[in-house]
Amino acid sequence: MIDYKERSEHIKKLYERQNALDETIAHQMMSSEKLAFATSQWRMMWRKFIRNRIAVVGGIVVLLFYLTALFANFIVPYTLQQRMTAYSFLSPQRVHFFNEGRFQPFVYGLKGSRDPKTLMRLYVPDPEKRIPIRFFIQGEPYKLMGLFPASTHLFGVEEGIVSLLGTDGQGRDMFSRVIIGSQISLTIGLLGVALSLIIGAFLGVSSGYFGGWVDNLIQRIIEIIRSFPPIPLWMALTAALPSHWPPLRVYFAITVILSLIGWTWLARQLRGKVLALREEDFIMAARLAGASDGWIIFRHLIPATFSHIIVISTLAMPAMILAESALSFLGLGLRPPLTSWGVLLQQAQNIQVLLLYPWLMMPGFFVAISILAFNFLGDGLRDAADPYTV
Amino acid sequence: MIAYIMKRLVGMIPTFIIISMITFVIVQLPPGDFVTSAQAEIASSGGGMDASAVEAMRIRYGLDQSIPVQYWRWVSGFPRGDFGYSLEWNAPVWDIIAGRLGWTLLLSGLALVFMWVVSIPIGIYSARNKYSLGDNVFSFLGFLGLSIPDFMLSLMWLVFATMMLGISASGLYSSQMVDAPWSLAKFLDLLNHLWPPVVIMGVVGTAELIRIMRGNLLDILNQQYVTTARSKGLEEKVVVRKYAVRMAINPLISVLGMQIPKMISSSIIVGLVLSVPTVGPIFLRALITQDMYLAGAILLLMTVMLLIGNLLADIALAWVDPRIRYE
Amino acid sequence: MNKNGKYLLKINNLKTYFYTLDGIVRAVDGVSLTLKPGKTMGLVGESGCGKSVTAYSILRLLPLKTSQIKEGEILFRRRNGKEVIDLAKINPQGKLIRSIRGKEIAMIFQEPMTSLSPVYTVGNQIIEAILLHRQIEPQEAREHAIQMLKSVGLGMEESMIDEYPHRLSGGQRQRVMIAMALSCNPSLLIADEPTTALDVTIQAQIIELLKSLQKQFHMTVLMITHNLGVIAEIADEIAVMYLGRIVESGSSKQVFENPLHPYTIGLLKSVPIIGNQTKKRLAPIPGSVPDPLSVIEGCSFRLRCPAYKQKECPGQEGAAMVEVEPEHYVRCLLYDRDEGVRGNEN
Repeated sequence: MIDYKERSEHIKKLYERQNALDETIAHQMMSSEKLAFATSQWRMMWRKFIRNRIAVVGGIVVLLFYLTALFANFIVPYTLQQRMTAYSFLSPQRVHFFNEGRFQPFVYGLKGSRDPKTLMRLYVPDPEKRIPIRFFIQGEPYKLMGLFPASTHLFGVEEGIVSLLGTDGQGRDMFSRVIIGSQISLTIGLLGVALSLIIGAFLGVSSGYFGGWVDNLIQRIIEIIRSFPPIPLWMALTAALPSHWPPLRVYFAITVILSLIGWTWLARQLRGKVLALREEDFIMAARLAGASDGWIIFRHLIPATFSHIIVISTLAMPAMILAESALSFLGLGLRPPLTSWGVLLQQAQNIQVLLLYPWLMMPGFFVAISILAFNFLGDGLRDAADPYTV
Repeated sequence: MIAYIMKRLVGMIPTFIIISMITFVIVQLPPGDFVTSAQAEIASSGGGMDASAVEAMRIRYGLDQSIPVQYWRWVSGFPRGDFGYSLEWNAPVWDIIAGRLGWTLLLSGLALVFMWVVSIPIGIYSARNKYSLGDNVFSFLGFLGLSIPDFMLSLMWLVFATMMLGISASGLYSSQMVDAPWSLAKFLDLLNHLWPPVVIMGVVGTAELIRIMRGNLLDILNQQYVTTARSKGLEEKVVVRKYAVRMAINPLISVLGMQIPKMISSSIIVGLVLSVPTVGPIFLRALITQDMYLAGAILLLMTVMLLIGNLLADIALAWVDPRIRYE
Repeated sequence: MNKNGKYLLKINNLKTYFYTLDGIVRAVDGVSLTLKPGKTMGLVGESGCGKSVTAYSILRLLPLKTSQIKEGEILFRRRNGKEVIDLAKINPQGKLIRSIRGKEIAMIFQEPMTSLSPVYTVGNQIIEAILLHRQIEPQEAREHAIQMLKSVGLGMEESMIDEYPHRLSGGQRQRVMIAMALSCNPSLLIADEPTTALDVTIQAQIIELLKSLQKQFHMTVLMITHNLGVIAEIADEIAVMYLGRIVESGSSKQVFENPLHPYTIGLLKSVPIIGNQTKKRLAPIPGSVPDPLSVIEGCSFRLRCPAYKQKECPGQEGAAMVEVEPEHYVRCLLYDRDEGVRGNEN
């Protein structure tokens, strides 16, 4: 029979001895643990993001869209204004990939005629005439990114036409116009969000940090702006743009107008975040150490909200793209020759034309896909940055 | 409760005043005024106006006065229900827009009801069957709904309905019914034309609501009071309904309130494409022709609809959540 | 173990596992407990040791999709005295468990601030519990609810009953919770850290309340806590848990006066005692509870055990439960290798 009382006392002594031993090792362990944590925070977020496959797909699509927009003029077979009136209102052509067993993409040649009853243009593909699609073909000259003159196109045909998404009433290739149009649609989004962010971050953070009358004033302003239904407000503001303004100025004006409403959402989001962070210990510590407000805002608060800023910027993009498309669709936004997806959709306003040639709606799908991709991406970023959800 | 409502109503008055001022300034922004745009129209059809005729027109319309004076003349008519005079249509503004505002209200209201009725059951289902096939399908459909712009959906419906289904999709009534007297058939015809715009307008909001409902419910189902309810011996479906869903609805009311501006905006666009007589087309034209009282009144009234909608949402929230009532 | 004594609840080798995306969490990994009628059992351990999961397993309140009772029995003697059912085997959503919840076994929880739904009045929630298990008129139920509020010492019961929970303080809400739990006179009350979220002074009041109510209602209490002070106040028997297993159990007197397991000794040593001279430093158990996903073969405590670290433990493998003195058990190699009376728990 063991003497358990004695054993019990002995264990108590063992604890005391253990403490003395542990003390020396404690310091080293603590510092190395802290280091491990600091470097892995971004890595943790990245790993969490990667696990979300849909978000990754969204990210890839967004990247693809922007890359395509960058090299748009090269990628498409025709230029923005190139008219091939012999082929107006052509429906999207089918591309065949195998020519007698070999891999060689081609399209059929076309014979045009007019349906006597509906007066609709008809194109009959001629199976005898197979027009091969050539790559890196010389075509109409253009300026890549507006700067570098070139005339090589990624693909095209030497005769006839290759129109993946059909043509419009003036024989302009929709595919080319949609891809080139993406340049405007996607960059207005970027600029708009950037501008909204600058205004929104400044006002939102100030509002949350300073509180008091500053907060009250800014909140009131936000309230009043948000009282207006957005589309009518934009309509009214864009209608104010003089018609004689050059298209580029209109472009920037539209961006500013969109940002004037957009910043409110960003400001609200950031204000909320700052309100929560304001009470955190590290802010208190900085203040006790004598840091000025500006220092705290720029060196502590903004970096702490950085991941949140990325998330809300990504999530604000769809709204911008949507707004510009809707306004241009109504005829109040951008004007030709500036072409965005919304402008391209103006033609779809004519119901009769649309019913006859429904492929004129295609730019709308690009709008939808880009919004979808941004939403997936933004959602994934938000989940990755939020440490509390599983 | 009444005190809460009163407090909010009184708080809305300064907001309303500021908004009316901003509205007036905005519609004045385009260079020139109604007279210059009328001039332009006359000029484009080959005529012309000499300076004195222009001046006379200005005075007649009161456009020679300063902006504050014009503003005051406009605003002072509000209590009488006089929202100004449409220079183009030659009629009081209210007569022109009253009916159309009604349609805007109706479409927006029905769209909100649609969102409510559809998203709550789907949200509950998605939360309780997390990651199931149904949940994923609804999630994806939801994302689709979020991403396809309302004007695009309207166009797609137009093409689909006309080409594939062969039914009349635009306007309020089919061509046979337009001038027919009121009857059950006409009413059904109207409903047939109303549901597509309502569904299209509702779809965007539905997607968001489903996601929020699902997220909220998932959070709430993990809350302590749900476990407490279960530990008392309640049936699972009672626990979900009485404790979880009831709580999840609260934030949904706020979200619904936030959908109101989107609904009003959406009614304009969808109305334009599907030819439902909302204020959209008139607003567009008034903006372009600088018919300022008309444009201003429309913008103002839409904003007022928004404010009242928000107020109703806040009241509903206070009614449903006792914590807010006591603040 | 006194086989002749009638127990109220007997847990035999319970294993409750959670299945997560990152792996299996063996929250309860072979727990055996016996609750005697009218007594208070204190279940002690640090956060994450599985004591709450044990409690939830009794009432089958764990999430169905991610958790499972892998093995074991939970034998409960029903009020009619003759019937003993195995709670581990019955349908967690069925009528049987629902007729036991609230009526024969009731539970109060840690966070009074979130335990009551904010959109229903206090009365609504208590009366709901009463009407669920008793066939009486709503008016009678309301009277009964008011009586319960009185017996928990709430004060102003007539008006409190129509108040919303957010108007009450934490201590008041916990009293409401207790009133609700006891409203149908259960034979077993499970209290999961009921005082942890309360102020110290309120803690003492609630503990006193529980003690007096236990006497008044002749209840058995399972008190779950990491607070040894609470245990000392209220528990007749103690079971110490570490990483899903019971490492020591015995009467309150035995465990406090004669702690056996190194973990128990460590816990007792780390409690500051007012009045003691501060010559000796506070000596918490070094290290922290390991990641619940990790599987530790053998004795799970050895990583923090001073005996093992200083090479005084005879081995690495896990020990069996050994009865060192009557009704005082310990699971530790330091007491196992010699001749000890082996208990019939594994």
